Amino acid sequence: MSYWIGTLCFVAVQIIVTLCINLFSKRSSKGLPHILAITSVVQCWFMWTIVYLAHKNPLVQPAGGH
Amino acid sequence: MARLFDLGLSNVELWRSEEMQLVQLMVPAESAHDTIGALGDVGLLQFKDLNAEKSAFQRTYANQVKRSDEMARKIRFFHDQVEKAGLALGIRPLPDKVYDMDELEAKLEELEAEMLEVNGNSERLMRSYSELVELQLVLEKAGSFFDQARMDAQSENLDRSYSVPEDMGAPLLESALPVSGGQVENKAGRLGFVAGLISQDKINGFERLLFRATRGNMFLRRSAVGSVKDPATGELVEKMVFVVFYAGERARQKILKICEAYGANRYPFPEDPSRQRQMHGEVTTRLRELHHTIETGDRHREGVLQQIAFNLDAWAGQVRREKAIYHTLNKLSMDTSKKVLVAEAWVPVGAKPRVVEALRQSAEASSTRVSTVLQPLVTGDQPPTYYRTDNFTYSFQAIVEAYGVARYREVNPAVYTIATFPFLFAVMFGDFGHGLLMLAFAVYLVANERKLLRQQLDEIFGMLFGGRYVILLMSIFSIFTGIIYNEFFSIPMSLFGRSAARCVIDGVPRQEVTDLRSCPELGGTVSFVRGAPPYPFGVDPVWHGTKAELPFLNSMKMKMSILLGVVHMNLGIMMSLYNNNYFKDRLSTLCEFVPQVIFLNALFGYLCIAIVYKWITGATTDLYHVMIYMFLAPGTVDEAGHLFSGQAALQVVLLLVAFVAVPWMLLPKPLILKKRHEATLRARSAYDSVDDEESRGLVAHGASTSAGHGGGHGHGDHFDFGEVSIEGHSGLDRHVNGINTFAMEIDSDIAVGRIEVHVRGLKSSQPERFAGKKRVSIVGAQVRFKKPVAAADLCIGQEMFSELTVPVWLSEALLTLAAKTLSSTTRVSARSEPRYFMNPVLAACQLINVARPGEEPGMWEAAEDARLMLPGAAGAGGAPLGADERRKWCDVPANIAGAVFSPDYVYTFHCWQHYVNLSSYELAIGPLRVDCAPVMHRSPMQITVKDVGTGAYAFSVMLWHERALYGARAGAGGIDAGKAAALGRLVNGVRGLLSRS
Repeated sequence: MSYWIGTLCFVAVQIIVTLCINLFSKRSSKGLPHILAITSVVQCWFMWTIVYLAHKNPLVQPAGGH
Repeated sequence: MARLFDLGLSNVELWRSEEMQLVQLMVPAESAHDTIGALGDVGLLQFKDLNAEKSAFQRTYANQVKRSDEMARKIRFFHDQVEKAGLALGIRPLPDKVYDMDELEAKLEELEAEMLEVNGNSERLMRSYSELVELQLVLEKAGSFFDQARMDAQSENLDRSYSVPEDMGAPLLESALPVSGGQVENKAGRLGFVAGLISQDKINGFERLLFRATRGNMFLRRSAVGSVKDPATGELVEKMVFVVFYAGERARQKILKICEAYGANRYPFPEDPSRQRQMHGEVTTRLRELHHTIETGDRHREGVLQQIAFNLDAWAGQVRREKAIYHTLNKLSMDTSKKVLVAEAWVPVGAKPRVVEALRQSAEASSTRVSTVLQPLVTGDQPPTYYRTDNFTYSFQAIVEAYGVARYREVNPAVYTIATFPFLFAVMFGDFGHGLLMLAFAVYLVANERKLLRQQLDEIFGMLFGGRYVILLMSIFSIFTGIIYNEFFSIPMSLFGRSAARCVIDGVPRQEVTDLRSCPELGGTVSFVRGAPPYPFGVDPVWHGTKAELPFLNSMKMKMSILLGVVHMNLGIMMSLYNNNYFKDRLSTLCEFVPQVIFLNALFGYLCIAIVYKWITGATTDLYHVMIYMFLAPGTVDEAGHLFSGQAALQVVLLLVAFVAVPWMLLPKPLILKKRHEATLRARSAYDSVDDEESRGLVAHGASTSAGHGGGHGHGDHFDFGEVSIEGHSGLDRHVNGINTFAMEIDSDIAVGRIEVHVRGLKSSQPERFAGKKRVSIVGAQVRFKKPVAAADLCIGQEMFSELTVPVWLSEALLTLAAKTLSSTTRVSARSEPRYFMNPVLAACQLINVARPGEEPGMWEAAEDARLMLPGAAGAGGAPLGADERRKWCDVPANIAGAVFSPDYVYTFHCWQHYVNLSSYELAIGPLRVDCAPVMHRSPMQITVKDVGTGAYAFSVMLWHERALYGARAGAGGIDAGKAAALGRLVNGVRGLLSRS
C-alpha cells in the first residue's frame, strides 16, 4: 500500500513541476522542459521503486550485527 | 486549465535538427569581402566548397590568405615579445584606432621592423656590455696574477741562492725577472702571453691541448670568476679567466687557434700596471655609460611593446576574421566575367530572414549598384545536421555529438540525454553531502556565467565551465540518489523515520528496542518483519555497517543496473521507431524495430520481470540459474530455477521468439534492399534498351525541318532522337531540304547538287551498296560549284566544335590516324577553331568524275575520269587514270597546285571508308574497337566538304549518335572513369600503330 502512496507522491511532484513550467517558464516552446521534467521524474521514481522493492523481502538480514 | 497541463510535446526544440535549405548566393565581386564578413557575423551559413578540385594555392584568394597568415605570424611574434617582457595584454574589444586591412598590414610591418631594430640594438649593446664586463674581469684577475708573480719574484730574488723556486709561476730565468713593471717585455724578449675568458667546463681540455700543442712550452694561470654572461649567446656561463704564457711566434699562432676552437674570448691586456689601471678606469666608465644606454633602450622597447600589447588582441581578432573571410571566399566559384562570385551554402530555414537582413545591410553599407542575389537551390544532397542550441542545451548536445551526429532530421538523442546522462552519473556518484558541494560549485558557475564568459579561462576550468549545466544537473540528481542510497558523506541518515528492521528476540519483534545496536546484547537478532512495510524512501539505514550490507547493496545495485540498462535500450529502440515513422520507412520498422524489441525483451526483458517478481514475492530462486538453464535445458525448470507455474512453457516460447528474431533482424532488410536496387537497375536498363530498339534506324533530323517532319517519323512510340540521326546542312546557317532519307539536295555558298550518305547498319541505307564490301560508309556527291575553288583547299573530313576533353596531342593523333585511312596527305589541325582533320577531296575520294553539264553520268554509274580538271593526270594515250593512280598523283601537292574546281563542270565524287563505323560510332583498326562517343564529346561525326582556304562549306552532314547527344547519360560532362581508363589503354595502342606506319 505504501508503495502506491510513494508513487502518488511522484505523480504529485510531476503535476507540480508541470504547472510550474507552464506558469513560470518564459520560453516560447515548452516542449523541451516538459520532456526533461517527465524523464527526470520517471527515472527518479524508477530508482525509488527499485530500492523500495528490493527492501520488500530481503533475502539477507542485517542480523549479523555490527 | 488545459493550458496549465499542456505539455507542448508537439513542438519540442532540439527534437529534430533544423530544416536546412541549400541556397545560391551571387555576390558582386567588389562587395564580396564585406558580404561574406556580414554573413560570418550571422554565423548561420555553411558554405559548400565549390573549388574542391583546386589545391589551396590555385584558389582565387590564396594570396590574401597568405597575407593574413603573414600578419598572424607577426602578431604571434609581438605576442611572444610582449610575454617575454612580462607585459599584460590589453583585453579591449576595440583597438584605439580601427585600421583597415592594408593599413594594419603596413602598421604591423612597421612595428615589426621597429621591434627587430630595437631588439638588434639591444642585443648589440648587451653584447658589448658583456664583453666589457669580461674585459674588466680579465684586467682584475690577470692583473692580480702579474702582481703576485712580481711579488713572488722579488722575494725569490732575495733568497734565490739557497732555495729552489717551488712556485711554478715564478720566473726561472734571471733575465726574465721583472725588476719593475714595464720592463718585462724588454727583458723577456720573445716571451708573450694571451689573456681571456673560457667556460669552466672546457678549461681542462683547453689546458691539455695547449700543453700538447706547445710541447709543454707554456704556462697557464687561471682563476674562476663565477657566472658571467657570454657575449655571443647571452647566457650565463661559469667562466674562468686565464693567462697563457708562451715563447715564440709559432706557439702564439697555435694558442690563438686553440683559443678560437675552444670558444675562449681573448682580451687585450697591457703589461704595464699603470696602463692596466688606466684601462680599468676607462672600461668602468664605458660600462656605466653602456648600462645607461641599455636602460634607455629597454625603456623605449617597453614603450613600443606597451603600445602593441594594448591593441594586440583586437588586431589578432581582426586578422583571424580576415583570414576566415578569405578562406570562405576561396570556397566560392568565380564566374567567367570575374564580376560575380557564386556561393552555395546551407542555411537553416528559420534563419533565412536573418541572412537576408544581413545581406541587405551589407549591400547598403557597401553602396554597390548590384546587391547580392540569394535564391534557393533544389538538390538531392543530404543536408547537414544543425541544432539550434542555447547555453543550457549546448554542452549536452556536445556530449551526444562526441558519440556521433544524427543524420539530417533524425530524432536527436540529446533531448533525453539532458536528463538521463546526469542521472546515470548520479546513480554511480550518489551521495547527499558530495552532491551538495557539487551543487554549490555548479550554482557558482551558473550564477557568474556572464562574468566568466567574458574571461579567458584556463583549460581545466574552461572545461568545467563549459559543462556547468551538466554539473548542475548531475549534482541535483546526486542529491536525490544520495537520499535514495541514504548516504551523507557516507554516513546514513534517518530522514524518513526509524528503520523498518526490528530487534527480534525469541521470534518476537520488539518494537520497544529502538537502538538496534543493543539488540545482540539483549539476545535477539536484527531482522525485517515479514509483511511489514519497508523503509519508505531509499536504503534502510539499518544496513549501514552490518556484515550483510555489502551483499545486499551489491545485489540491489547489480539488479538496478540491469533494469536501468534494459529500460535505456528500449528507449533507444523506440527512438528508431520515431525515425522510421518520420521517414516512412516501414521496412525498417518491420524488419528491424520489431525483431529488435522482441529479441531484447524476450531475453533481457524477461530477466527484468524475473528480478521484479523475485523482489515482490521474496522467492529464493537463483536468477543466474534461471537464465542459464533457459538456454541449456529449454522446456524444463528444476527446483533451483523455479519462479512460477508455466515458467517452462513461457521460457520455451521466449527462446523461440528470440531465435526467430535474429535472422529476422539480419536477413530480410538487406535482401529486400538489394532486390529494390536491382529493380531500379533493371528499370533503367529496360529504358536504355527501349532507346536502342526503337531508334536503330536512320532518322534524318534537320534542325530546321524537324517540325515539318514530326509526323513523318511514323509510329507513335518513336523516340525522337534516334541512336543515330543525320543532320545535313550546307553552310552553317542554311539547311538543306528533304533529308528524311539517305539522299539530300544541297545548295550552299559554293556548291549546289545532290548527295547520298549510306551507312552500314542503318535501315535507310541501301544494303546492296555494302554487299561483299568491307566499307562501312559511302558518300556520293554530284555537285556544281558556284565559284572556282582551289583544288588543294577543297577538303573532306571532320570538324570538331566541342571542347577538347582529351589532350591535344591525343586528339591530333586520333585525327591523323583517321585521316591516314583516307589519304596520305592530310590536313589536320587540332589547334585551329574549329579543329578539323581533312584531306584534299582529290586525294581522298575513291572516285572522281568531271563532266560537262548535260553530259554527267548518274551518281553511281560514274566512272573515274578527272581529265577535264586535271589535264596532267592522264594515263597513256590520254585514257583516264585509274582511281588509285589519280589519288597517288594528287597526293603530291605540286601536281594539284594550280588546279581548280571550276563552276563550268559537274563533279561526281564517291568516297568510302572502312574504319569509322558511323552507326555505332566505333573506330575499327584491325581487332581494336574504339568507342568514339566519348572522344567526340557531344559533337557529331561529320562528312564535311569545305574550302579550308576561305572556310566556305560545300556541304556538311552531321551524324549524331544518341550518346553524343545525351552526354549526361554516360556520366555528365564527359568521359567517366571507366571509359577514361579504356581510352588510356587505347592511346597506347594507337600510338604503337602510328609509330609503326
